[in-house]
Amino acid sequence: MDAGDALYEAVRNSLEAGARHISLTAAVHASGVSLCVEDDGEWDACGDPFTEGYSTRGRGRGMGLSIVRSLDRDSCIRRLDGRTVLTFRCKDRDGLGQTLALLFSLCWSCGTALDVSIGGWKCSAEDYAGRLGALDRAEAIWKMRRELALRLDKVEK
Amino acid sequence: MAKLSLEELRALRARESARMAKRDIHGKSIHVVVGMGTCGIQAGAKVTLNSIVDEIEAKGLKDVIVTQAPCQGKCDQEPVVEVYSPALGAVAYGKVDARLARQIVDEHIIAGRIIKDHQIDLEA
Repeated sequence: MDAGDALYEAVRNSLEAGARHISLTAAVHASGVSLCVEDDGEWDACGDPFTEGYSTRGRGRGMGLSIVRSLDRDSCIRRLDGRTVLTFRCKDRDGLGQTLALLFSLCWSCGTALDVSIGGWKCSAEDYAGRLGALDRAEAIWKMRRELALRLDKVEK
Repeated sequence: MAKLSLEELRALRARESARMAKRDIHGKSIHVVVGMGTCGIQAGAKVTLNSIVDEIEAKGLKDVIVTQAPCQGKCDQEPVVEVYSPALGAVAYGKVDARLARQIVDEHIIAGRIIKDHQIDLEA
């Protein structure tokens, strides 16, 4: 599992909590990437959400945040001003650009707003939809992947 | 209009998601659904989805919708890909790696032939 996989699990967790708005912030460092996923979904304060198998959505679930914890033992989740905030770090940014393109498509399909900020550069699913049309078109996903890969390269340099 | 409870909102969202995932495809777009639950991701579903997108782009296909679905309960068959097309209806494939993903685009979507060796039954 890489940074992209952990990020996908984190955003999917937000969607399954009923989030209508997700903000994602990524800071690229020499030692890796710091990620913050903030959403307005439901919050369940009982138990440790990073525990494998912990889920508010029935049996056989509850792997996503444990995967995030397996990549970063200092990962943290808290409730702040009515929003759930998850922060974690990854040693590299493998899979990040490709995952972001899929997440824009996924959130757009679910009707959830997604705002992304990478090193000061900002974009939203709404911005992409305005330029590319329906984000579930294969053509749109391909274009987003290319743009995001170039954007992440610029940030690293 | 009465305010919806959280449970009602969830149920509404679930119905809309199901409707979008299995939209009426007669005479309309081809729809590819890739299982992207945790089990799918661990089995390599991101590579599968990206391979499908790359092959669609390489072959210049327009009007193909590619969406992501949660775990469908066939974890031993992940990555699972469903294709909905006017010609062939709904077909599911299991253990779709990058090679099979490209084959699905070339044989199923373009040539209109079901790849029987890799077809699975999601209801079984």
